[in-house]
Amino acid sequence: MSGITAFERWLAPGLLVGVAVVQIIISLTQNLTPWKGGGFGMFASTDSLSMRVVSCEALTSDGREILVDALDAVGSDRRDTMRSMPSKRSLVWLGHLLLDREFVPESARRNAAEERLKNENPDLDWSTAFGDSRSDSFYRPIRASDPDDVESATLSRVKLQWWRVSYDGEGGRLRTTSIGEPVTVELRAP
Amino acid sequence: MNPVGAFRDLIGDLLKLPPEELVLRLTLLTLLLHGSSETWLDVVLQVLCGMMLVSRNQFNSPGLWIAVSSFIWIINATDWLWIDNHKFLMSYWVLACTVAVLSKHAIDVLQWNGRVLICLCFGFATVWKLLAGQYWNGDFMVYTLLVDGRMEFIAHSIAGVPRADLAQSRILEDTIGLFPNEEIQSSLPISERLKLVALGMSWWTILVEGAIAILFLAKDSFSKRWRDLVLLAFIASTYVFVPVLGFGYILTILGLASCPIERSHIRVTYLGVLIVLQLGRLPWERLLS
Repeated sequence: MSGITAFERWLAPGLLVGVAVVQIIISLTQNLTPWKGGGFGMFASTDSLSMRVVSCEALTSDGREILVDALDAVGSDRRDTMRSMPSKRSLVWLGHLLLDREFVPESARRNAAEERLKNENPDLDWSTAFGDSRSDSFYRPIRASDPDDVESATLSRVKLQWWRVSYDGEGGRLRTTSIGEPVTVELRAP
Repeated sequence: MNPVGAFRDLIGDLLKLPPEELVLRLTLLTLLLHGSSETWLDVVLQVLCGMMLVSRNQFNSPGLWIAVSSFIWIINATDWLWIDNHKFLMSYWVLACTVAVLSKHAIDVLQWNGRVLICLCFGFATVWKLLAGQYWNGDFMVYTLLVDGRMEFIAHSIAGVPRADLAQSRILEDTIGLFPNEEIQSSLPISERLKLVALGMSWWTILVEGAIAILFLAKDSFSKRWRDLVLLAFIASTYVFVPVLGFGYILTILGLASCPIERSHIRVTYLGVLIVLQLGRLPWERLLS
């Protein structure tokens, strides 16, 4: 064992210590989750990726106010990167991305299937049998697999904000608290 | 041909391999199965590690280890914000393996790095559990038992939480994020029994993880005698319930690498744990009920 050099001994452990110390500092001073970044803080805090969410109030091009599932517009790796360390910069980037997309009600696919069932079973009193199961309060980005005739919306303004879902052990309660200030991104005039 | 005898011969053959060869080959196997974080890296690791693993002489080729190490470091450095901690640990270990195959004292380099990396990994994990403020009082574990589907067996069978409450808690966690507002809150179904189980699990984890860090740091005969057993108990009891196989595999290989060659019964146990870890993938809850 004595024959091995300091380089052979300390290259890998030295890198581990360096990365872990930097991760602890960034986590304590900024919004980096303890779970990520190489500091071995997984399973130490409830402040994991799934506890970081984005709210998005949007104005459609035809003047309606809707709520949008903003993070759905981003691929999973990028989404996890953003949630690891929420920042104003990532909200601005997300805002511009959303203004470029088309949105449909979250229940668009289900609604289209429901319409088809209703058309194929015209004798059934649908609302008496099943009640009104539609929910159009949330919008999400349109997907290739959505029905062709679904009515989509484009956005002219979005107001985005990071939130943290936190668990208060004393009262056994879940609550949400904001992280930073909201960011508004508007479509520029042509 | 007795299958049990053949299996015993297989383990015997593995232990007859030079210790550095066994560790390097198991590392290649782990990289092949659990080393990648994205498709680009997956393709490279499947090709390179697969060929090195089946080759007779290239398992310790410095050039190939430098290539594997470079790919892992470049991709993981790019993805550092979202990859899991065991990918970081794999990166450090692959670097140590690369240094080892370039060294005249390969087994010494592997032994030293295996021991120190285990010590540091568990040391930082313990520091975080004390630092985050939600662990030592059981809050983190209460929440995890209620919302993490992987813990349902313990939450229901040991902590006595009704399945309906567990399902409701998971739905609440998902739903409250859809309505972020400082005035909205929701209470979770917390019982004294759940708190007690969570507190016990929390302190047990802190004690075991802290003990592993100290035992792998110390050089006295007591630590040398006990550290492998405590690490093996931790790996077997944790990763069978929370099947993060990549983490379980890399910790087992680090333990095997750090274990002196003359402790053959402990080395056999490390190999056995690699097999036991696969049991974590079985649907235990369904089988037991």
